[in-house]
Amino acid sequence: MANKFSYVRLEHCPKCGSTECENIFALFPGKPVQVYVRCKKCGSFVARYTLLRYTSDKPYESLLKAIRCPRSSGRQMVHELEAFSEEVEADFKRVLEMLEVGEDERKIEEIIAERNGE
Amino acid sequence: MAQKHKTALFSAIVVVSAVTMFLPVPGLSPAGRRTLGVFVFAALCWITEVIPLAATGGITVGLLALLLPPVLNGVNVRTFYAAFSAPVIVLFAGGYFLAAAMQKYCMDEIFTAWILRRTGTKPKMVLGGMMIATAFLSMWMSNTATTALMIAVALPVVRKIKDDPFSVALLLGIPFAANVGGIATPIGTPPNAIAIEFLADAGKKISFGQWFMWGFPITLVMTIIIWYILGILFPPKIKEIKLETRDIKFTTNHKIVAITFVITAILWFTEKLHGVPTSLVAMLPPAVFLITGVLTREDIKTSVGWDILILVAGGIALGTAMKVSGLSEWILTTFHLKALSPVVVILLFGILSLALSSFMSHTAATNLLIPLAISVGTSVTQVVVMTALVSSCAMIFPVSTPPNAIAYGSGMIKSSDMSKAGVVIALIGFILDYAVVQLLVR
Repeated sequence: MANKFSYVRLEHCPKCGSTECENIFALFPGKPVQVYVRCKKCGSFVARYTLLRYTSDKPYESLLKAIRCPRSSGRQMVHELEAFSEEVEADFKRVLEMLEVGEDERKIEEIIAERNGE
Repeated sequence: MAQKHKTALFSAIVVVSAVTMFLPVPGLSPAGRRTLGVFVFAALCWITEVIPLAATGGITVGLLALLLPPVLNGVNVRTFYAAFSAPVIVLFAGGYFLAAAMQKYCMDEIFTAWILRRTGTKPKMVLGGMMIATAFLSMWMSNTATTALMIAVALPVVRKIKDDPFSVALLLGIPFAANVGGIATPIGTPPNAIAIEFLADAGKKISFGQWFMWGFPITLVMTIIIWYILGILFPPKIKEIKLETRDIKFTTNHKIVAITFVITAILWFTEKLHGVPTSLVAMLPPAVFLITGVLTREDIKTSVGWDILILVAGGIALGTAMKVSGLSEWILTTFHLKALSPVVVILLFGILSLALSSFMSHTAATNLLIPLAISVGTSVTQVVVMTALVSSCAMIFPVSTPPNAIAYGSGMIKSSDMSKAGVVIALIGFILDYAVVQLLVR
């Protein structure tokens, strides 16, 4: 929890409440990339995410794979590359800081619903 | 640049442009003054990039459509909106669809793997293979996307040999080859298309094959020269390099993409035999890929450079306005350009193109220079082609081209390394472009 409309929440197993989860990356023909989350403790289905963009621990490599559209400005490209790496690092740090302060107690779908209706 | 600085700069540009429109310039009609104001606006916005390049292109078309019809007979909004449907815009859009399918089905990676299997493991041969693959792909795909793919292929090896000077050669060879690869075909890079559109408008039709006959020799010779220079500047210590490439299964969709690519390319090259315009042929890839489901709505949204099409349209509309408003003629007589010898004019526009494209988008630079070049009167084709060709040889700084920026973004090369090689290559490119323009372009 932090600023208005900024929330962090650990994924919790709906059955046993554990926060120990496994992410299973799945790609089926004709479907978007999906990540299935399984509880590591009781093996229950926890959630499914549809992936918009994947960023690894090497942001530059992730961005290279995401560059599909032609660009016309070298200057803009330099800014984009610098900003992307810095943004990933800074956002991750911020998320951890917010988590230390305390996570949002509501269910993730409730938080998303509020966000969508803001 | 901070947002408040951007706002201040943009406001200043608007004021300067507006003042230009009302300056009592001797010999210039009201329509010419308005066009001059819009030209100043576009030039300052494209040079400073205070707003996105495409936004400037779109605003330019809008301003011209708003300001000129009231003071010019026979001109209406359609005169300027026509820029969005100019044949080269359709040709380029078709090229983007072709490239999007090639990327989606990793045809680019399949081709790269095919080349690299034949180059062996000697470092200089691997560099040569990477550069040939890059140059070839960027003849058909955007230079940016080609560079991103090839750097992703090279990066694991580059990281392993990061203390070897040759790692710099590998990282620089890719963007440089992408820059010169774009020269070879009309769809390789936007400046080529801009040049072809303006020449067609002036009654000098350049076919796909004709441009290839000028551009391909430059791409070939420059790729070899760049390979040689990088090998001297950053010699390998390592004896062997192995680049990993994926094995990709060839499916029905791969076959559709490959067959469509081959048919489209053949039809582009044989326009003189069948008479179907290249822009019309360019509608084949979108039709085939959308009917067969090879490309989806999402692919079109993410892989087609709509912003570049708007940017190019802005330049075309500006050129039209300069012609119909009399601004081109005024520039010619005021600056005595007609009195200069053709050689001087060709070299002058070449130097301007190289200088501007080193610091700003080469598409935006040619958008500004080619409308001026087309008005010169003598040796128009040579001046316009020189301006377009040289703009692709400007690769001195990380900001000079998006491919340079991508390579620099790896954090594994210094700006000085890029400049050291880039200056030599830009000068050689300039001389080679001039030679081709003098020997082949009529």
